[in-house]
Amino acid sequence: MNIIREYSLDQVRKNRRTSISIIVAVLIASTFLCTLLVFAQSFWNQMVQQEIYTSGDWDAELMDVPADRLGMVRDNAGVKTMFVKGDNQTAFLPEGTALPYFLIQNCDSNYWDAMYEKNMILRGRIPQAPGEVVVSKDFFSQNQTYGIGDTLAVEIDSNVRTHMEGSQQKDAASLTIVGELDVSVSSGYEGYLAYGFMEPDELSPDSEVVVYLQMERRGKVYTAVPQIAQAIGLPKDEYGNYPCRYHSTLLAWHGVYAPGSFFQSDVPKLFLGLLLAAGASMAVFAYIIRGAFGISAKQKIHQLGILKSVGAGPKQIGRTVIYEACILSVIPILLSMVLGYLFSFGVLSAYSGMTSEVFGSRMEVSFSPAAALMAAVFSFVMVLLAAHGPAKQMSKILPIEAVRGEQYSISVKKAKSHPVLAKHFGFLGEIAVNSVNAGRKLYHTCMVTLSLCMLLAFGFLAAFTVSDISNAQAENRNHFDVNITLRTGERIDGALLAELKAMQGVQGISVYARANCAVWLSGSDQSAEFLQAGGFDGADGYIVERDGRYRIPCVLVGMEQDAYENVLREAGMEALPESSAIIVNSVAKNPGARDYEAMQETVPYLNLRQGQRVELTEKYSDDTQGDYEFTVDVAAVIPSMPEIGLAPSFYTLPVIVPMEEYYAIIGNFSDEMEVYNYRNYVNYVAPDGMDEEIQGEAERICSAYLGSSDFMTSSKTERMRNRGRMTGATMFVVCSLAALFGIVGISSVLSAILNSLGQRRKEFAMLRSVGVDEKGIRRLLGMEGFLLSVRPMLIGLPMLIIICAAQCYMMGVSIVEFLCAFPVWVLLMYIVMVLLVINGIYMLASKKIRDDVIVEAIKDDTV
Amino acid sequence: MDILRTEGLTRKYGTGQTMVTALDHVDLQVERGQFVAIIGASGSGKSTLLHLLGGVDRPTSGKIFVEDVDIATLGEERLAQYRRRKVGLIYQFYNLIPTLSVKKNICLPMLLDNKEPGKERFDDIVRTLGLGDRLEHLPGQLSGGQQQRAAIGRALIYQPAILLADEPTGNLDRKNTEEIISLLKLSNRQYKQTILLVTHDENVALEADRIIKIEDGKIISDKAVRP
Repeated sequence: MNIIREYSLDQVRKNRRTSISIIVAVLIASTFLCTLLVFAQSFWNQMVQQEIYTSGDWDAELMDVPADRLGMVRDNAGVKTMFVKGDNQTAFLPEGTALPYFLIQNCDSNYWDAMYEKNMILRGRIPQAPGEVVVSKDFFSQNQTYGIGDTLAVEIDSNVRTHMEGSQQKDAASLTIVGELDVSVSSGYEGYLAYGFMEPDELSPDSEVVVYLQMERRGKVYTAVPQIAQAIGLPKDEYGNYPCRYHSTLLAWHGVYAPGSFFQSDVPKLFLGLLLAAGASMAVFAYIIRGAFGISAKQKIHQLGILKSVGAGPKQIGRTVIYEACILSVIPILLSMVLGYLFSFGVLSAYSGMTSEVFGSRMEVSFSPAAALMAAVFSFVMVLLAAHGPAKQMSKILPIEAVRGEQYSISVKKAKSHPVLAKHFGFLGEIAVNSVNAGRKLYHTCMVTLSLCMLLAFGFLAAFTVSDISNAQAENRNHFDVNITLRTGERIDGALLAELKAMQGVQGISVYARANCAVWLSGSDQSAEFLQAGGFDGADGYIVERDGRYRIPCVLVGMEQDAYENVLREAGMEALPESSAIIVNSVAKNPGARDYEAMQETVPYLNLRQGQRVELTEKYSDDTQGDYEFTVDVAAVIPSMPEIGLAPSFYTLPVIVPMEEYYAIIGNFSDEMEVYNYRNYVNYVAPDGMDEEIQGEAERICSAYLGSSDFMTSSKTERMRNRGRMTGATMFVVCSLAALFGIVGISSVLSAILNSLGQRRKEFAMLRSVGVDEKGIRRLLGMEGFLLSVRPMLIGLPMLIIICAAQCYMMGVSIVEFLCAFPVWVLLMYIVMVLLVINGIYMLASKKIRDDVIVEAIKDDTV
Repeated sequence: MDILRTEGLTRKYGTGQTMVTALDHVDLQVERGQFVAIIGASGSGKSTLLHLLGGVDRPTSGKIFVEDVDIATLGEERLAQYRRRKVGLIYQFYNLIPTLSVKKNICLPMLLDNKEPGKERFDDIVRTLGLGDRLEHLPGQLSGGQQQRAAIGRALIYQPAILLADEPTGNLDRKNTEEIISLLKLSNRQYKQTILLVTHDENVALEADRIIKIEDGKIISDKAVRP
C-alpha cells in the first residue's frame, strides 16, 4: 500500500476520538443532504402522482381522429401507448326516471387504466366490457330504486350533443350499471353523465374519437405529435394548429416544455431552488466539517512536519488529509442513505399527518436509487470540499515550524485586561476570557454552526409568526366568513344558485363571476389626481405602453340582476337598456406603501363619465390566445368597489355588468378562457361562530348538484385552523432539519473543546503546580464554558433581531404585535439548552485535566 | 571541492519590534566528505543554520548552494525532492512517525518516492544500526538510543550526500552518545557522506574534522581540528 495511504489509515485508527467526531459530522451532513433529496423526490413524486390522479397519465391528446386512422396512430414508432375516448351515445332510459337520458362517453381499457375517471368511482368498479356503465351519483340520489348491478333496457342514440334534437335511429340495448361516479353535468342537459366501455377495433370507421398518447420519448412530444396529426391527415384550425393538446403540467414535471415556455413554468424555478438549497447546505456543512478536518490535521501537524522534513511533497501532505476524508466518509455516507430515508420517513409522515386534512391527501415518502446516488455524490463532494481547505493549509506548512508545533499552538499575542471579570472572578476570570479569545479560531466553526442553527429555526419561526399576524389582519378585513367557488366549466345550474342564495341563518350574501380583460386608452384618459400620483407611467409592470396607448388591466364582474340594480340605485342611477356597465373608477394612490391604511387611499383613476362607451378586449396579456373585443356603455361611475368579496389588483379597473350580460360576453371568449370564466363565487357573512356550520350546509347543497372536484368551500375558522396546521407542520420540518445542524454543531463543539483542552494540559498542570486547587480549576473551566456558550447567542441574537425587524417592516407588522405572538419562551429555552449542553461538554471533557498527575503533564513535550 | 556553500544567509523571525535575527549574513563553504561540528550557545542560530541547509526552513535572504543548486529558490515539490534524496536530517527528539513500524520509518524517504530500498543496502544499514530484531516494532516500543538509531537509518537510506544532525545526542546517555557518534563517523568514512553536526557538547564536537562556532547568528570561529 502507498505509504501516504497507509499513514492516513493508521491515523484514522489511532485518533479514534477525532475520527468519530468527523464520522458523526459527515453522517449527519450526509443524512441532511439525503433527506433534502428524499423530500424533493417525494414532493416531485407527489406532484406527478397528484397530476396523474386528477388529470390522467397522458402526454398529448389528438381530437376528432377518425376511427379508421387509429391503427396509424398506434403503429407510429413515437407512440408508446394510445388510449381512446369517444363514440358518445345517448341512452334513453325507461320511463319513471327523474331525467330521461344517460349521456354516455365510451372509453377503451387503456383509457380506464391511465386516466383519472376511475378515481372518481365512489362505489363499484370500472366497466370492463361493452354494455357496462358507471353512472353519476345524481342518478342514484334521484332514482333510489336503482342500484349497482342493475341492468336497464334502453334505446341507444349516437352522439350526445345531438340528443335533444332526437329523431335519429335508436337501437335497443341493455346497460348494466357497475359503479357510481362522483361527477355531475348541468341540469340543462336533462341527463345523467355515464362512462362506458368500448373496443376501438369495433368502432364504425366514420366515427370520430379523442385519442390520448403516451410517447416513447416524452421529450419529443412537442415535435412528434404535430407530425402524427399531419401523418393521419387531421386538418389545421384557423390559427394553423392541429387539433391537439398537451398535458403541459405533467410534461413540465418531467422537464419537458413547449418551445418558449421554459421560463414561464414553476418547475425550473423549483428545481433551481432545490439546487440552491442543496448547494447552500453543502457549503454550510462543508464549512462545519472543515473545522473537524482542521482540528484533526492540526492534531497531527507534528507528524506531518516530520513527513515533510524527510521529503514528503506538498501534494503528498495534502493527500493525507484527503485520504483521511475519503476513509472516514465511506461508511457514514452509506449509512446516511438508510438514516436519511428513515429520518425523511419520520418527518414526512408526521408532516403529512398534520397537513393531510389541509391538502386532502397524504404525502408518500419516495426513495429511488437515483436520489440515493445523487445524495452520495453530493455528500462526497461536500466532504472533499471540507477537506480541501485543511489539506491546502497543511501542504503549505514549513516543515520545521510543524515539527516544533509552533504554527497552530494556542498563543495570545497581547493579553487584554478584563477589569469586571478580574474584580468578580480574580485572575482565573482573566485567564478564562483570554483562553477563550486565544482559541477563537478553533471555536469559530462551532460558534457559526450554533448561531446558524438558531437563525434557521427561529428565523423561520419569526417568518411564520409575521405571516400569521398579517394573515389574521387580512382575514379580519375580509367582510365575508364563508367563501364558495363553483367551477364546473359551464354555466352554473340555476337551481343550485337558488338553493345557495336561500341559505338560512346568513347575515349577508354575494354572488359574482369574474373574467380578466383589458382596455386600451391614451394618456389623456387618466384623471388629474392619478396623473399627479404617478399616472400610467408610474405603474410599470401593471400597465403596458405601446405606441402612445396604454393597456389597462380590467376585471369584468358579473353580478346577479337584483344586486346589480342595487349598486346602481345606491349610485343614484337607473339601468341602461343594453350593455350597461358600472365602472369602479378608483386606483390606489400609494400602492407601494407599507401601511395598510396608506395603501387603501385611492384617487379617481380615469376620466370616465356616464353614457360613455368603452371598448374592451379579451386579450389582457400578450399570451392570451383569444382576442374578442366588446363594448359596454357606462351606466354609472362609482368611487369604490361594492362589498362582494372581490379585491381587484393594483391598477385594475373593475367593470361590473349584470350576470346575463357577463355570460353573453364570455361566451365569445376563446374556448379555454370561456370554460375558466364560468366560475361563480358565492360569499356569506355568518353570525359569530356559525361560519363552519354554514360552510357545511353549503357543501351539502353543492354536493347534491356537483362532483366534489367542481366546487370548493372555505370559512374563516377553517382557514385559521389550516394555517395553524401548516405552520405547525412546516415548523416541525424546519426544526427537524435545524436539529441536524444542531447535532453537527454540538459534535464540532465537542471535538473543539477536547482538542483545546488536550493542547492545554500543560497549562492546567502549571496552574495546579502553583497552588490552584481543583475547585479553582472547575471555576476556571466553568467560566470558559460559559463564555464559550454565550458567544453563539451574542452572534446569533442580533442577527435574529435584524431578521425579525426586517420581516415586521416588510409585512407592516408592529414590533408589539410581533412580540405578543412570537414564542419568546421557546427562544429562551433554546438559549438555556445551548448553555447547558456546552457547559456539560466542557465539564465532562475537563475531567482528564483535573485527574492529570501534575509532573507528567508538565513533562508533556511533544518535540 | 565544495558540496555546500552559503552566501549572505540570513533568517529573521517575527516582525516589527519583536523581530529576531537568528542568522545574520552567514557565508560558509563545506567540502565533500567533511565532518563539521557546529557549536554555540542556546539561541545562537546553529539549529537555524542546519534547518536552512536541510530545506526545512526558508531563508529571509541569501543563497544556499548544494552541489551548485540554490535550494533557496527551489519550488515546494523540488525542495521536497531535495529533502528526500540529497539530505538526511537527524533531530534531537528522533521525530519518528509513531504509527509506522521501525522498518517503514527507516524506509520512509524511499517509500515517499514509491521505491523500495535494495535488500543488501537495507540489511547493511540495519546491521550497522543494530536494529535487526526491532524492525516490526513501533517507535514507542524502542529505547531512546534505538529510536535515534532508527532516525539515523532513515537519514541514511537514500544515501544522501549530506547528513545534518541537530543535537542527535542531546537526549541520550553517555553510552548511547558514543554509539551514535561512532555511527555517524562510520557513515562519514564508509559512505563518504558530508556531515554537519550541531552540538553543544565539546567532546562530541572534537570528533569532527572542523568546528564552526556561532554566536548571535554569526560565525565567530571556523577551525580545522584535523586535516
